[in-house]
Amino acid sequence: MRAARWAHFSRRLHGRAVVYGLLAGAALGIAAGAAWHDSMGALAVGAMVTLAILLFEWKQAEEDAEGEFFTSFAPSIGLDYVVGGSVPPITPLLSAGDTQLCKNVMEGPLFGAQGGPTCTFAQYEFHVTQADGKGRTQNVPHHFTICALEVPGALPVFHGVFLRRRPQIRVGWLWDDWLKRVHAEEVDLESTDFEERYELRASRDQDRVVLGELFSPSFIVWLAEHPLRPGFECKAGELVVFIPGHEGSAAELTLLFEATREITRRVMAAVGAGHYFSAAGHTMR
Amino acid sequence: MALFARNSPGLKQNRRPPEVEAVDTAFYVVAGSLVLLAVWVVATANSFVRARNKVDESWSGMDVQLKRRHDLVPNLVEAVKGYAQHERETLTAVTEARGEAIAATEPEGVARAEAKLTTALGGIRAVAEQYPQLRASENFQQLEAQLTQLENEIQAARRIYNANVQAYNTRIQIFPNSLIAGRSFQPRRYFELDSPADRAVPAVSFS
Repeated sequence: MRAARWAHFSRRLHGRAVVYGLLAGAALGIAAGAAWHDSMGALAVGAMVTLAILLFEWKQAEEDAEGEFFTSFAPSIGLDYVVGGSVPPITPLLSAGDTQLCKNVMEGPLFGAQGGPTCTFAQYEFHVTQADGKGRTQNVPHHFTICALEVPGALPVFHGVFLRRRPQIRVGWLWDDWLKRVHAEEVDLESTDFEERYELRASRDQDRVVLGELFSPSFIVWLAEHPLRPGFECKAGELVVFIPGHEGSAAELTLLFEATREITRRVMAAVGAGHYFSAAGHTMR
Repeated sequence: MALFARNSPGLKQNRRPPEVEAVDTAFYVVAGSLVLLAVWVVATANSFVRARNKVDESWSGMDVQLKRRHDLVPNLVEAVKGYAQHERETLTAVTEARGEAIAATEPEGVARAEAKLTTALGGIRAVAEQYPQLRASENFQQLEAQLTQLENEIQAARRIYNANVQAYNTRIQIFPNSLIAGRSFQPRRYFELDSPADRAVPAVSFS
């Protein structure tokens, strides 16, 4: 995407808008110099206008390159690029912070031609507004790449399962514990490797037998060895698979999409087992 | 008045000699070091216990999967018996191997018995190849799919167990941890498959 960004930037620099902008900047600089009787002031105004135009064009080139990339990428995984959109704020991650935003949204069936639930694959961010003691506020963004979908039948089975990478740093303004408002207990699994990489929490009313069905040995090994270390949350029928950061590489995005498919398959299988336990009179606690 | 007294020159006369102060300082340094050492010993010993519990936990996880396979075997034998009554030898071998696997307790014995059961189950698959009606049976297909899934789970559980054993053994064997581990924390053995079929390297011919 970086090469495409430079190509767009170069093309935009040759456009009329930039030429007119630079001419306007020069005129403004001359006018300012004449008004202030200061040649350095004129140069400074001219330089500032040029810099502002370049920054604006760079930002636009970035958006163009992103749009171009996602327009061509979305069909390769069987999705449609719908640019903007939103995801329901059901899971803790999707309702974290003070404001939430989705960009570069792609939508479509999770399993392509085979159908399956419709998923929303997007670059997601939530913003936390922090106030310092002097009445000033600071908006801190937290970026993720997500794939969200509704899993049929998961509503009564999964009351709250939250898996994320084990945070290395838990202090400072860069860290926001979006699970702190959730009444969830940490769950220990048998794998040391998994424990080092992940933090698993489950709501108190989550059936531990169903949780055990989901986190089978093969799933634990799969998660522990996955190069992206994807996290996921499953609550009220909604499943969201995520990695930190706005991912812009086709290979990594494809890997995340494949991971979402695998996690969904596992969740759906556990949902089947959950309904079986439920029908057999097992208490869902 | 007390403040004046503290700042008065008379206080200097009450100061302890430098030798006594040096002994005091040495005492605090030694005591501090001992406290730090004690904290480190306790923390290290606790980490051994945590690692050992993980090993036991992962062994239980594997045991669950192995028991599931043991429970599946009678159904599989019954399904085969209905179509291939003449394969008594194979079916008896599977039943005997299952019995040995259930009876095994120590990790080494369990590994040997499970490898034997895996080989015997391979015999059932070979039998099924000779009976198209059995292969086409929906019940047999379901059981075979369950068996394959269980074998995948067993493999995964074995990897988790071995990874935990490696982490635990490393922790107790590295110096100076080995001084604390002593005889209370003994290294655990890996769960290795003895099945020749699993160890066999497939021959690849490019001719």
